[in-house]
Amino acid sequence: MNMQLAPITLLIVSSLILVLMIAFNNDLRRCHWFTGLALIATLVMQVIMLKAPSQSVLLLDFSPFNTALCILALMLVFIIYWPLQRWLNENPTSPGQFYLLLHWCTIGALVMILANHFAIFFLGLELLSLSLIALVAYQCPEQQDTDHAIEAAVKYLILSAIGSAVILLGFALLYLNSGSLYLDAFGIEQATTLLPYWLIIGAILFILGGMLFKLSLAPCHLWFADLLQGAPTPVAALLSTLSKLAIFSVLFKLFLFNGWFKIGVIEQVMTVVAIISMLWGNLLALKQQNIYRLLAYSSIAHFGYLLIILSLSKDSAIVSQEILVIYLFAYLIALSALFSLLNQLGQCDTLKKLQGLLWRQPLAAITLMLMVLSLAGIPLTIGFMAKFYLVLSSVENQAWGLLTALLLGSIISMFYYFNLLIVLAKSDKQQTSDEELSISLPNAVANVFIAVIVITLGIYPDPITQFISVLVKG
Amino acid sequence: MNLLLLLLLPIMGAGIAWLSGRYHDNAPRFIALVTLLLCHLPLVNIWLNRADDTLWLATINIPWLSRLNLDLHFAVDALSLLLVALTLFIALLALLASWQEISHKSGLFYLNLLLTIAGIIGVFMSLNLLVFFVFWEVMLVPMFFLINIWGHENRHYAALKFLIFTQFGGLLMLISICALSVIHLQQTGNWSFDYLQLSQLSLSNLQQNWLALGFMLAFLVKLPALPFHSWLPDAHTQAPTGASIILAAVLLKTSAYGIIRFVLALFPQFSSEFAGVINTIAVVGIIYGACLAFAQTDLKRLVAYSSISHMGFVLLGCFSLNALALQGAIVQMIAHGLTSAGLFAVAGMIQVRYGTRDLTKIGGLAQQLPQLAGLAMILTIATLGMPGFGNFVGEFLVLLGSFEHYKVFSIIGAAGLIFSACYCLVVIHRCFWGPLKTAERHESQDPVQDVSARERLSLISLIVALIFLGLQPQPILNLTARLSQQIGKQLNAQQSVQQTNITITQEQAR
Repeated sequence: MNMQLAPITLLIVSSLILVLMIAFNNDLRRCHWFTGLALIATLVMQVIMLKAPSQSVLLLDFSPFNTALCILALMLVFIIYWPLQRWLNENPTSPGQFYLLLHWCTIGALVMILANHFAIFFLGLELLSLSLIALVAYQCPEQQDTDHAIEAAVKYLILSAIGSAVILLGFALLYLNSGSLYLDAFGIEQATTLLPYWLIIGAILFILGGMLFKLSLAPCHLWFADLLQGAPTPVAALLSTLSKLAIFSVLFKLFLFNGWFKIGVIEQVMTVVAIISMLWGNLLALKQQNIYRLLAYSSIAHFGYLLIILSLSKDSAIVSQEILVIYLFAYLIALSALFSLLNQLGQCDTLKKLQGLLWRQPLAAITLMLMVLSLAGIPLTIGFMAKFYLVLSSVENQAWGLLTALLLGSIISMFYYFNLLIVLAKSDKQQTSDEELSISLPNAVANVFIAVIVITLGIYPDPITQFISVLVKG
Repeated sequence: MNLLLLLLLPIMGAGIAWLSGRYHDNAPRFIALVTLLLCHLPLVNIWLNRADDTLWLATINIPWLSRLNLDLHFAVDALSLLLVALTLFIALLALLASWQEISHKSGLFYLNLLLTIAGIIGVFMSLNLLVFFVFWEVMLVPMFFLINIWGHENRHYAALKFLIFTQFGGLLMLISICALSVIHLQQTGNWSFDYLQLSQLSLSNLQQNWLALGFMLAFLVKLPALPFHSWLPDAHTQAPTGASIILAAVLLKTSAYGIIRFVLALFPQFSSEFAGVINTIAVVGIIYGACLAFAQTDLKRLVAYSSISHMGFVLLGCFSLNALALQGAIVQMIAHGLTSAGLFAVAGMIQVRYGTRDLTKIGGLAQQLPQLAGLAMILTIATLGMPGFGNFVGEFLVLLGSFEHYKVFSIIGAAGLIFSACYCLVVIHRCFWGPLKTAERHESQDPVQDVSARERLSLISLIVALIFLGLQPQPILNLTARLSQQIGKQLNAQQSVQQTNITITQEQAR
């Protein structure tokens, strides 16, 4: 048995143990600590695996690049996991199941990131999606907006199923053509005369359509804001970080291996999708009063920016993998920390409830502000380095159209990010909402830790950029 | 080392001031004062240890991002040194102006104030283009908070508008910087963002024009030049006095500095080709700003529009393509920094006393505030360009220099001086002379006090500096002579090349 499989195996075993634990004694604290230990152990093992040579085992592809994405995924899960105990304490129905589903989500995401074959990719995708559907509907009886959660779960169930079906159809057609289901076998040059050209393009478009649905990129984005608003906060965090990370990594590999961007139609479609996502996502975020809806639209825009990476040529001076890792790292860490903070603050879902937070809870508000600044890409945060890499590389590849959209998008996004800062710093004399929770010590420590990482790597990005560039080459 | 200290001292002072705010309300401002005074030490040290034969008085180079060959490359020449000195001086004034005005959350206020100062100093010292950009953006965020938290009635709108406008320009500049670096990569095979290396690049005309456009837009927004000026009246009016002073006196100067350092030096061909267009913008700005200033009833808004007018002279001086006008622009930058700081300080003093800056509600204040009226009178006269004050030297040199190539602009610009005399005298008349008219005051309030020792100190030091600059500008002209002659020569050469080309094409046409 190969050592590289150890992290995933560990997670699978621990999820089975968790099942037994729930069956015998469904105790919140015990489940919490067990999950935490399992996640840390997996993370440590994964970090050790970074040094291992790249190889393929059982349809999984262990390259340092994939391992880095796995580490990122585990870090995201850990950030989301950290404040869970307290949140579940208030919603005390069947806490163990939440951790079990969290386990399965993580396994699904890791499998998708590592997959180099369609079958295992689809397995991971379904594991992730199905666990997420259960998680979206996860709620307790006394929770007020039960309807929202169920509405969101049903929406996600139907759309996710449609997305998966469309992806399946696309891959089936491509399989007819190439006779192989490995993810690097779908290049247009492998085309045989079995299928007409338009059908192959159509198949690729089917796959892209499904992927765009799952990534909630415009014009397939309509469900995402409702979902984030309705789902419990930690689940919303999983949806917008972990699940998107996994799907985007597969999309990226499909483009990287098969050179789909060189096909004229695909290039046009993806460029249009990217531009619409950047502009439309940011425009829709402008007027949102609900912070989850705001983050949902900003996430659409951010993945629109990320689509630029697909268009970069292979012989650029900055390799596209490098930008992908640094951008995902910067964006997702800040976003998951933001969700984690919102989770800790309790029922602060509208901007009005967050008003004047800076004066009530300075530490939480300052962390929140730093994360928002990082999302906005202001210098001295890691978010700026990510944006800078993206701009530098698109200038090098002379992607002027996409760059213009990126520029307009970021200007528009400044409105709502800085409006959020204004809201946080507004003086409020009228209210201190009862629903707002104070932040416990371990959570505060974690928040400060992430804030320090975001700032330190923003001020001195040398370690991470160096690390990533070595990693991608190796 | 001195340069690093110059940058780190305000940042550390900011942190300490913030933390000290918890223990005592007065602590932050004293810590800020001590920090700013301490900052002068490295500056003096650089000045005393300078070598006379080099352009760069001090440099420091620290590796930062090895993947892209990025260094923290800081250096000061005479121009940077002058502007850093101006920044520190103005920062002290801003501190004195906020001394009483800022009562709530003072720790956070001085944190933001000092961080803004650190950012501005960083802009003036960076020789790495990306580091320049980083400081350029970073100084905006604390300024945003200064306006947003401690500003006046319409502060949220003003802060957001300020930020969006300047961010827009900044992002265009980022694209230009990246493009410049990519061209360096293509020509030499390795990354570089270093000013000294990038100035060696040979750029085609088309490349120069596009790249310079990105830089130019960023600087024109911040300057502010005509179509992009609308953030300035709002930001200046809504900001607390201290922040207004910093905004007008030094933040606007970063853009003029950027034009001289980057646009003129890196893109000489663009500068001479588009000088006519930019000078048109400058001259229209001079006249337009003066006219709008004349029509304002809000005292701070009036000063803000007068800034647009005066910065027009700086822009005209930069693009007159000779050393004389460039020196005039530098003197004008400093003189405008001093006068606008003074006028905003006066506006702040009036607002603190009467709770309004609306010129329709106040008048004849000289009867209650004789000393302030006198000091304000001197500052206003300096603003309108009376000989004997720094502004005259600056404006005169700019007009003289621009007359060489751009006679029409020079003449129209000179007319702007008359307009500025109009609004300056009118504001003095409305505000201080005539029958006494004050906003309604409660009986219980204390009678209005004339200037305190602190206020007197700040205004008189400004006036002394202005008179010194007006009577004895030679030291500053000597300091900047080398830089301006170098750039002027480069631009002149470009100009003559272009003229020869034109004559050749004309002859060929014949």
